[in-house]
Amino acid sequence: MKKTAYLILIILLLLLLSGCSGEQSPITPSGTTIKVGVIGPMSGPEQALGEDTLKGIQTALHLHPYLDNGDAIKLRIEDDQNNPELTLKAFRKLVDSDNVSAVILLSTSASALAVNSIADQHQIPVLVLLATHSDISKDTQYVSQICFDNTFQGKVAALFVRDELLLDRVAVFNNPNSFHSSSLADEFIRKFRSIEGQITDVIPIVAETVDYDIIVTHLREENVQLLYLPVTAEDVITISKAAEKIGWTPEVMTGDGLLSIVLARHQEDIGHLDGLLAIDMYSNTIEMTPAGKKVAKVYHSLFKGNKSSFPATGFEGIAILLQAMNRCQDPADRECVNAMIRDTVDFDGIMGKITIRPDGKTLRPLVVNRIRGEQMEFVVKVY
Amino acid sequence: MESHVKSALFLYVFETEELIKQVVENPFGSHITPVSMQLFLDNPVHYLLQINHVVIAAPLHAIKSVLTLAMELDFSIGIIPTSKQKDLKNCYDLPPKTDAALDLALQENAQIMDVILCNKQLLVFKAAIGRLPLIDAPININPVQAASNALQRLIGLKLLPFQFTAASGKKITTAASGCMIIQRHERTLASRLISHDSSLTDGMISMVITAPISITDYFTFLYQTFRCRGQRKRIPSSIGYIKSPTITIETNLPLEVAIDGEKTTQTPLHCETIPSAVRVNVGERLRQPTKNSKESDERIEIKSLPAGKELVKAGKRRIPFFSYASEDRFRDLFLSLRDDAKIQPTYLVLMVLSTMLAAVGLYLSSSAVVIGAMLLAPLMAPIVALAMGLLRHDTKLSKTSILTITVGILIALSAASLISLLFPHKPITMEMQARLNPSLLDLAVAIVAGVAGAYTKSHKEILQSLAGVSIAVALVPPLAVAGIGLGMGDLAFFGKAFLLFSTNLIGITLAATITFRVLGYSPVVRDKRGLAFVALLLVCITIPLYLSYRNLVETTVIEKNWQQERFLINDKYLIVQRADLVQQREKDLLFVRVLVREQLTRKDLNQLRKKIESNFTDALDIRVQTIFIP
Repeated sequence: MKKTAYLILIILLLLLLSGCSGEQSPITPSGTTIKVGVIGPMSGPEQALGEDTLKGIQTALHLHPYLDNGDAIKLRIEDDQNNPELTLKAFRKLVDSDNVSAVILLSTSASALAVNSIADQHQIPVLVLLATHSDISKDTQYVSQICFDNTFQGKVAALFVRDELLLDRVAVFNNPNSFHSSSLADEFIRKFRSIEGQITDVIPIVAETVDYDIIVTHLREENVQLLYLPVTAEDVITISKAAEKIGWTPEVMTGDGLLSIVLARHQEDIGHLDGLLAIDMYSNTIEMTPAGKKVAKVYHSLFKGNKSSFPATGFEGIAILLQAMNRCQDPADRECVNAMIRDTVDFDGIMGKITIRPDGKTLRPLVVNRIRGEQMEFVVKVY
Repeated sequence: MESHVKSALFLYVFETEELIKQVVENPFGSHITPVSMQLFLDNPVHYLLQINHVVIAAPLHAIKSVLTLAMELDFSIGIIPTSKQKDLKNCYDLPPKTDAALDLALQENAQIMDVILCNKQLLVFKAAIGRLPLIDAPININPVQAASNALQRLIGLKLLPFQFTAASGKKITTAASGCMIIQRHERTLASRLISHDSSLTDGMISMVITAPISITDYFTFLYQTFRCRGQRKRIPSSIGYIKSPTITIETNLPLEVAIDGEKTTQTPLHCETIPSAVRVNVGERLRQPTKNSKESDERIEIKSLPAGKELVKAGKRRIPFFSYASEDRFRDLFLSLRDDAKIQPTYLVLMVLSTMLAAVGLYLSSSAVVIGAMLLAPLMAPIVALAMGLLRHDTKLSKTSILTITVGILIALSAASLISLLFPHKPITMEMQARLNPSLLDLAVAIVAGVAGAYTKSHKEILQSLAGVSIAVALVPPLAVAGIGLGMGDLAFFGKAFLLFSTNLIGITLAATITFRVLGYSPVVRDKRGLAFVALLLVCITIPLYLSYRNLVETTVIEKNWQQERFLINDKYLIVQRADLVQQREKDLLFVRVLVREQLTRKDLNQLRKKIESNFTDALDIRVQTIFIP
């Protein structure tokens, strides 16, 4: 009787162990290497943006060094200093000389728009990770975006301010020289006005814009309820300081990626951002997906002390590319890879599903956060 | 004004020579003849020809020798204690200062006292056998030191077989860790446990027997000892007390006996009182008129000591962690449990009534009526009886209880089914819904209620609290819901509600079994099969409960998170106000209430549905309620 009981117990344990084992069988390397080009600001003012995103890419390759067929992935990294001219130069080098199978672009909208103009000539899939300009994937079959675009972001911001914060007097700062800033500001203004919101002022930030104290004093006198700031982190800090100086505390909403840049470049000024509403793809207080948790664990074991959200985007970008390559019989087949990228459906991202439409635009939730200390506290998620 | 003796011998030893001058030159006019102890013991009669009072300043063994001589030669004794002889001072209530002690020692009115002889050896303070949990410690012992000593004495503690024979011839066979014969016990911890009914002249021997049957009992005893400041009305558990003119102590193997701290003899030990044997100058507190020994009755209090079957276990191994008891010890409780376990007409009637009431209350969705049904329900009693039956491996009690519970269940299911069949309209009310998703939280309620039930049952004074326990655990409503499920022919409905009932049943039984064990109701010969069986059932039931609990947590998280979800559908901003995820016929159903400022078209709703669906892995039905905010 006892023997039978032990036997049953052992069988049950074995069944349990076999059920628990979720590890896939190891991949045998094929000896072939697939080259993937990475262009980003590895030096210059936006260096942190490039380096942090690259860490996410490296984490993904640490987890998956081989494709399912055993092909190894090798990165060819090019520094463009976030300069569109250098971006184009790097792009041509990667495509023509290095013969990469795909390009991942970490630079901002200006560089992405520059690549947009020539991607179709080279017929190579390009994944833009951080740039959000709405035209990046427009009129091209080869450029796809991982981020939501400025149209979505601007509309959501306007609707959030009007329908959730119930505010109707907004002043908008923009940087006319920045594709990202101007397009986002335009989108916000257009939508906000269409829903009967009042844009009291549109303040362009140019070289001549120096006295922010006078500007914010004027805005306060105009009874402005919210400042919409789709501008650089440096400008957000300056405007916040000016408002603080006159003891004015309006609601402030900023564009995507603000906190990561401040953490990388202006940590000492983080206090001036406290309470700001910031749009992002992530939040510190949303539970990650199981896949996200696994990646975060590996990432933190490889790179200590980094609080930026750029690595998450880096991981998602390369992971989508690898998934697309795995779906092609020949991972080096640019046409196939491009088609598979644009056929990404419900990919398990760090904090939710990501779908890339056939037109290269991404469907992913946008998160409105409130900055508290060094964290982004989740307010709402918009699909 | 006390008068002093005219003449006396002063017996000294080398260490007390310095007192000679002070004693000889005493201010009380007594003529003192100093004699060294050795010379006196060599020829006591010679020194006592003209003198019948002796003052002594010497070690305890010398004092004992003089006391023995005093019994023969009838002289009185005054004692001058040294600073180290604290026990002596306490025992005879002697003043600490030499002047005052000399005054007392030379007074004329010596107190007549009994003498206790154990195996012919004179006992002044106490005789100890075996291990005693601190009762011999001084009353003012430091608590930290006491705790340390208590723990040391606990290591390897076991009960040994003892047989005590009193003067009346009554033999007491028991098991004990040790025993202590006490001459005077006012200043020991023992004084907190037994009443001060002994005197210097009652012709009796007082003996305390310690028998902690478990580690918990040991600590309970220590707690009682330290907590009690005044005198106790009754002997605490794990203590026995014998007061008799003679006591004989026998053990299986010879045990050493420490008389006044020195191991000078072994068991068997025969102790006897020599009434009015000596006269000693004692302090005011101990002075009392001579009592006739016949006035004091023999007293034997041994209810707390192991007896009968309990002796089988004692002495074999170290004491267990939890106590155990024979049925005789808790006769009333067991009689009550046996009654509870039986099927009685009142039980059947109450089962029917409570289930019908519960079923109607469930249909009405009336919490008050359902609570009334819980109060009426008699199911808790046989479950508690079952717990005891399993703990004590009492097959008869267990079988009777199981039969009673089963009959109760069948009655409840039938009554609820009948009620269900009688109602043409069968709504699934909130009260029913609440009993269809049992989780680990329900198991937690059942376990706590089981503990409370067993505890209440074992303490008569709080028996009225059992009603509260019945409400907390609510046995009949889930049964009624299960019965309604049967009546509706919905087996899934029945299964879910019956799982909740099973959870309660198993949780209560296990918790009550363990509680009874902790409270010391284990049988003398333990059988773990009953407990293991319930534990196995618990493990089995925990699996669906865990899954259900996980589901509940996930649902709650989803519902909470969804209150922060928004949708941008064709430029229309939809605010999710509330989301409820329920399971309906094996499929998830998501109710979403959204606030919107613009009219939604069918296209918008389709897109909303797709966006919602993309957030769920499994297929689900979606119901959207839109609230238009102008």
